[in-house]
Order: sequence, then C-alpha cells, then structure tokens
Amino acid sequence: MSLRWAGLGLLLLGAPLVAQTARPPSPGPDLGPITALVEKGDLTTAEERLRRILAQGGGAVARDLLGVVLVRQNRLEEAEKEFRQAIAADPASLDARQHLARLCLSQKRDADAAAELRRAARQGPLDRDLGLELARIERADGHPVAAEQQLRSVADRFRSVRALLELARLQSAQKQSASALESLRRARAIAPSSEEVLRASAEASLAAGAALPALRHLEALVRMYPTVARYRYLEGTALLLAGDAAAAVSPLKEAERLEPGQALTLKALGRALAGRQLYAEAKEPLLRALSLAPDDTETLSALAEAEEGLGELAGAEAHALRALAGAGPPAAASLVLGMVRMKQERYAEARDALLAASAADPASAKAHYQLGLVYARMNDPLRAQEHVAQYRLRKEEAERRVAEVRALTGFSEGGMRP
Amino acid sequence: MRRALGFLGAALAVSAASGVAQFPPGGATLFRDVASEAGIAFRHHAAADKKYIMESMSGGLALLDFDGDGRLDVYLTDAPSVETARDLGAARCALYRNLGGVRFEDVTDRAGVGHPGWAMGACTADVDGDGWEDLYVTGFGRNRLFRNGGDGSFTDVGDRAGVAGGGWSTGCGFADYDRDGRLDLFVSRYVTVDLERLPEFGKGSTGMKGEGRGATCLYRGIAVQCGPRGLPGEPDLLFHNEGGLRFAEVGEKAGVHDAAGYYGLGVAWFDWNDDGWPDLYVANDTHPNYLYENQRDGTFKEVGFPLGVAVSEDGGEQGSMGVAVGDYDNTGRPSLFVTNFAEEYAALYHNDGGHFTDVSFRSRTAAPGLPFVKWGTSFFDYDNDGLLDLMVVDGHVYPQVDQVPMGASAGYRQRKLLYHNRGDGRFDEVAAQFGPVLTEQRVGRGLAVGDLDDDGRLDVVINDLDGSAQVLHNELTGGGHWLTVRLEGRGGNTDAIGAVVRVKAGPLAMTRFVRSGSSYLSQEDMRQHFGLGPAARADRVEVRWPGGGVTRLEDVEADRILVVEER
Repeated sequence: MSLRWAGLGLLLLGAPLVAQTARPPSPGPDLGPITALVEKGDLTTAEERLRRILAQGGGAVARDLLGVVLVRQNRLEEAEKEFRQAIAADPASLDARQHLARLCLSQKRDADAAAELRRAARQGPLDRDLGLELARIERADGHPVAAEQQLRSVADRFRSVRALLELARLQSAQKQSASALESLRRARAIAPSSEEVLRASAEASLAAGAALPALRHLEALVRMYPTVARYRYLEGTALLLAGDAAAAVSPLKEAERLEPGQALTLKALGRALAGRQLYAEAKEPLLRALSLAPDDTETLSALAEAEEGLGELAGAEAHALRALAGAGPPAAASLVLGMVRMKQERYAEARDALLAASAADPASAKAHYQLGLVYARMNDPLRAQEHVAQYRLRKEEAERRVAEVRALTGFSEGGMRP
Repeated sequence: MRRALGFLGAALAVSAASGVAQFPPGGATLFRDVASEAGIAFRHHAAADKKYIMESMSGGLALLDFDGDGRLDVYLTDAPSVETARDLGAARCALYRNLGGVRFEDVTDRAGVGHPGWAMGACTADVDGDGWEDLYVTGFGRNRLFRNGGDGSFTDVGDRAGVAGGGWSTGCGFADYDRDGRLDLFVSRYVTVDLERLPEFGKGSTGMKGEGRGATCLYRGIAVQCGPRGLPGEPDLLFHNEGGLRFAEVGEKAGVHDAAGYYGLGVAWFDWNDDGWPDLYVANDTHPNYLYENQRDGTFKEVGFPLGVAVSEDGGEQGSMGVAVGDYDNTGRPSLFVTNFAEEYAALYHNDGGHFTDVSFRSRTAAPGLPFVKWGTSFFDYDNDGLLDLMVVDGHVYPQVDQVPMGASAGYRQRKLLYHNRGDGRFDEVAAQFGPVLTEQRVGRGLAVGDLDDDGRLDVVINDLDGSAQVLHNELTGGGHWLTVRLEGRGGNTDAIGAVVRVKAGPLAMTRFVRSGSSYLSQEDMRQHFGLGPAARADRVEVRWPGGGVTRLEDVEADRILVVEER
C-alpha cells in the first residue's frame, strides 16, 4: 500500500520511515515490487518502471510514488510537479498532499506547506509529525482551536507524549488550566518518569495554583535531578504558593547555591524569608533581584514588605508606590502601603489600600487582619468584626493548605508547632 | 513580717543602699551567677527525652517576702517525669529564705511547700489580707493555695478555698477585678492530657475523646513529643474572692473562660486603658492571645483582635509563652511584650492609648530572638538609667532538635537575650557584651526580677528546665540613682496589687504597675523599682491605689526603699 513506501521520501525530509496513518489501501496497480526497489536504493529502475506504468495510464498513487523517488534523487522540482499532478489526478490523495507538504517544509516554504497540510487535514488524519507540524503552524498563525484539534488528533491516535505536552502548553496559554492538567495526566500515564512530563506537570500545576500536585511532581524531579536549580526553584515556589514560607527557604537557598544570581530565585528567596519575618535577611536577595530586574513589581513589593517589617517606612512606602505604578499584581504592594499608612495613622488611606489588597488577593488573611485593625481604629467595630471573621476563615483555609503540603513533604516547624 | 516594721511614714527611707557612682554605666560586668554561693542548689527535674508535652513546660518561680523581713525570698517549682509521676518524692519544689547579703537557706520542709504535685508555676498575694504573703502554685492535676501561717509554715487551703482547679493549670495572677476590696484569681490552663493514655511519642494517637485528628508529633521530620496542636484545650478559670478565704469560679459568667479551648500559658493582669479597672492578658500557645477588657460590671470583653494584641502583625497565631508588662518608653501607659516559639518573633505591642501597635521589628526586639524558643521575660531597668530594659530566657521544647540541622533555629539549649533600651523606641541586644552568664546555652523557662539584696540593682532568678537554677546578681557599677517603692495597701489587698506608681525625676517620668503573676508562670518582686539616672532625688512620687485614692510625695531622696502606706 502507498504508505508502505511513503517513508522513503521522508528520509530526505526528516520524517519517520514507517507509515503512521492507518487507512485502507488505494486502488491501482500493484506497486509492491517497485517499493521494494526503492527500499533497496535502486532508484533508477524504480523510476523507469513507474514511468512505464504512468505511460500506460497509471494513477495518482504511481505518480505520488514517482515523486518520492525523485525526492530521493534530490530532483525536487520534478518531484513537486509529480506530487501536484497526483493531487490533480486524485484530489483526495492524502499521501500526495502530505508528501508535497513535507517537500515544502524541507524548503522552508511554511506557507505552502501549511496550505497543503490544511487541505490534507480536511481529507483525513495527518501523519504524527505532520499533525504536530500543522499544530505548530496553526498556533503561530493565531489559530489555537485548529492547533488544539490537530494535537488532540495526534494524541488520540498515537498516544503521543509530545502531542500531549504541546496540547498542555497550548491549553495553559489559553488559561485552560483544568484541560492542561488533564492532558498532562494522560502524558504521565504514558511516560510516568519522563523529566519533561514531570516538569511540565509541575509548571502547569503551579500555573493553576495547585501547589500540592506541583510538589508531588517536584518531589520526583528533585530526587532524580538533585543538581538542577530549576527544580529547587520550582519546589520553593510551590511551597510559597502553599503558604509554607518556612519550608520554602531551604530549596530556594539550594537553587541559589546551584545557580547563583538568578533574579527569579532571589525574588522567591526574599519572599520566603520575609514570610518568615526574617526581614533583614530578606533584603539582601531582594536588592540583588531588583538590581537584575529593576522594574519587577513583585520584587518591589517584597522589598517593601521587608522594609515595612524592619520599620523602614520611607523605603517601604517608596517601593510599594513604585510597585503600584508598575504593571504587576497590586496585592502585595497595596498591603504594604496599607500597613505603612496604618503606622502613619492615616487610617482612611490605610483602609483604602488594604481594601485594594484584599480585592486583588481575596485569599489574603493578612489583609483582612489589618482591615480589622484599621476599622477598629476608625471606630467601626462592626466592620472590624467582619474582617476579623474573614481573617479567621482565610487563616483556617491557609492552615489547611499548609497542613496538606506538610503531610506530603513531612516538613514541620515552629510556625506549625505540633 | 513586713508589717512588723511598722508604718514609717509616707516617705520613709529604710534602705541602706550605697551612694551612686558615675552615670552612665561603664562596667563590663553586669550579672554573676551566685546561686551556688548563695546557697540555692536547686535543680529542676526533667525527663531527658521529653517524650511527653508536660515534661517540657514546667519551671515557674516566685519572688516573695514570705517571712515579712523585708527581703525577697525565692520559690522554685519542680516537676516529675511521666515515668516518676507516681513517686511523690520525685520532684521537690523549694523555698529559699533570704538571709541577707545574698545568702539563702532552704526552708522548704519547714514551710511545707515542697511537694505540691506536678508543679508548673506560681503567683503570690496576701489572699486573706492578714499581712502575710500567700503562695499559689499551679500544676498538672491540681493547684495549691498555700496560706502563709506567719510562722514560717504554709498550709494548703486550695480545696477549702475552692481554687484547686484541676486539669493542667499553668499561669496565674491575683487582681481585684471587681474592686470589692478582695483579691480574685485567674488561672490559665493548657491542654487535656490523661497520664494513662498519653499520645505516643512521635506518633500521636491516644484514642482519647476529643483528641481530634491531626495531633502531629513530627518536627522537621523527626519524632518529638505530641501537642499542643491536636490535643483538646482546657478552659481557663476565674475565681472570685467571696471573702473568708472562699472563692467561686465565675470564668464563664465573667466571659474569660476560654470557650475556644486555647492553650493558655502566661497571664498578666494590667490596666491597659488606665480606667482603674484591671484588664487581663492571656498568652495562648499556637492560638490568638486574649485581652479581656474589664467592663466594670464583673464581666470582661475580649478585645485582643481589635486592639491588635491577639496575633502577629501578619495575622499569624504564635506559640505564646510568657508576658511582660511595662512602660518602656515612659509614656505612662503599659505596653506588652509576649514571648513566642522559635522562628516566631517575640511581639512588642506598644500601647498607643486607644490601641496597641506591633513595634517588634521597629524596636529591634524581634529579629535577635527569632532562632530561639522564648519563655520567661521581664521589663526592668538593669542599669538604672530610667528606661526599662528587657530580658528573655530561651530553650527549646524538643531535645531531639539537636539531631538535625535546624537552619535559622537554635538547638535545644539556648542563650539568653538582653535588650538595652536606647530611649528612642529601639533596643540593642547586648547579651554578648556581658559574657557567658548570659550567652551560656541553657534551657530557660521561668524568670523573675527583683532586688534580692536591696542594693538598688535589680537581680534575676531563672528556673531552668534541664539544669540548676540561676541567681544573676546585678553587679553593674556606674549605674544611675534609684528608688524602690513598696506599697502597703488597706483592707484585703495589702500588696496594693493594681496600684500605679509614677515617679518624676528631672526629665524622667516613669510609671510602674503592681502586679501579681507575670513572665512565664512566675511572680516578680511587687516592689516597684525606678532607675533615676543622674537624679539624686525624685521630684515627685505618686501612687494611685487600687481603690482610686492617690498619694503624692514631693522631693524624695533617692537610693533607698520608700514605703508608702495607703491611708
């Protein structure tokens, strides 16, 4: 059948040798002996026989095979002509379209390749590599739905880990966290120990705000690749996400040791230390992070928090205002500004900043606690009580999350004294 | 006895204190541990491994003048281990009589206060108003009210008086919360533990009713004693003094019974809003702390959250242990210092008048203590410069922490913290300047401050969980002038507990508060000490008595103990 020999041409185009798409054989002359010649490398004889068949009125399949033989001989213009004639003779010829697409791809003619692949895809499922390729093109061209369709098709037909990873990335980019996590779950079922799959799973879990699953994947990665700074960084980030700043300090320090001077690591380390009220220690990595990424609003906010904790209100205020002027999430900076205003006894401004912090980060217990204080000082006991109640709820939720994490990590310490 | 000295007038000097040298201090020696030479050979008993939570929490002490000779005596609590709990002689608390000249004698057996049971802490007051200081000892199982017979002996009247409590009592303090002239008693309680069904070391399960799930017994992956988290908390107790040495438990009615079952430890009665009615602060381990505001009708309102003294600044519930109360910045208002677990900062809550502000980091009292598990604490002016300094004793609860690297945390044995008040709202941690007596690694619990030799320099007595008691004799030279004020109240409150003493000396305007129960499960000297700096005289001494009356004295000579009687 035609796909038996399709692989020959793919040697040139970098595609798999073995046919990948299961379809019923096309009607026409028996091309098996000629395919055997091609496989043996006797391209001249194969070409002669194919031309004879075509002279006798041979069909699109023979012409497609001739195109493949010509590709093998690097006679690409002639090959393209044959593929096009095959398509003209049989517009439903999926093989010919895919071969033409491969040829175009080999010549970096992405637009032509895309056109053929799109036509081919309308006719039937593409080969694995071409499906992935079309998905890449569709994504690059701003057609995520078409890209996802291709990736799903490849993933379903070939149990392709690559397709599932690409699909997860696409879904993450589309903010479809649940779908991305499901794609990665399927990938893990196929390749449970794959570093790439575990890493993608951890990152997707983090993106979805799911610290616990992320930590499960990272636990395996850290165990298998203890010297990879990235995994230590992600582990620390996951612990921070879970609210376990105490546990986050150690992996982040290790990440910094393995790969010093990374702005993201320094920022996360500073946040973890500040989360443990080690404000003086937190300042150093945060200042270094800020020197590497001067406009990073999260770093500015974390530095402001550390300064506020140290009672350096002027610096805290300045950095919080810079963070708020930036494009980043305003929660942390608003919180710091609110606390600074509290200490300045500018309660109305403190309230407004804290309300902004709470709105930006509804899970923040700290913002509600501070709001409870500010309303108490503004002689509004009812609102103060409401916010204390909100604080308690969020505190319980945060503790539950940390307890879940610690059940997984086994970490326990002062803040959660047994 | 104290009253035997007689009333010597409103401004009577009875001290033989020496004159004052230069100011500020220039000496390098501050404290010297004189326990051994002073005759205090006390050593707290403790199980080596601390496999159960009750083996880690004892260690309060009391400074009291039990024999009325004007000198501070020392009572130290002791506790058995779970293994030796049935042996009545396994632990022996000790009462040391002050002979003067920093010499003590063990009078425990004569006094009959050596075996109160599983003792935790102590507080004192002249409960029955007979002029003799009585001793209340909290403990696991039951509490004792040792009534002072005035002849060197005590009799436990806890059951008869209705204050024996039960369960696991920890902190205590007396105050006349309803201003009826009689001293009432608050007792904090910790967790419910059954000696027959203890949480298994490192595992937790007891099957005990109410234990709940989640009794975690790991600390950074190592097996440790279980609790307090996961164990049921015990409500606190308020005993109203009905007169005739009888008390009625009114905690629920008064609104201070701790319905949530938080794990109560340190207790401090103090009048936070200066309305003349005692308020109450309770330090809770791993839970929000309580501030009960006196409603002047026999009830209290819990205001810890709105006033900003319940949790850390970021809303974190901390493992709170001890409490110090003091006007460290001479505003006339009492601020709070609360000691907490390792990697939790000790919280300095500044009293702003209408509320408190957490100034822990700004004041520089937070960061130095982060590695330590912090317990006994006190505001006191060790160099007589007119500014209250601050001391903290530390020590972990898990001996097992020495098996693993603890990162930012210290090991099991830990040094002390001494904060010198700079006078600008900030403190410097200066323990290392004063040598091993402060930096030696120990397992501190109770701490109480008092002037043991009446020389005007405040001494410190410390009860260690795993070691000998320390008597830190203040030998600083070159400190400022001083004045100690001893009050003699009328009626049932002869200690004048709840009184406020204000001293003006040049630019210094200082305020002290007469209180029962403080620090970590301890009782400090009820006499009020004032460092006067370079001032050889106090311009004014003012006493506001618990009943509301005021005594004012002008131009008072310094460097002596001033006895002031309520008229």
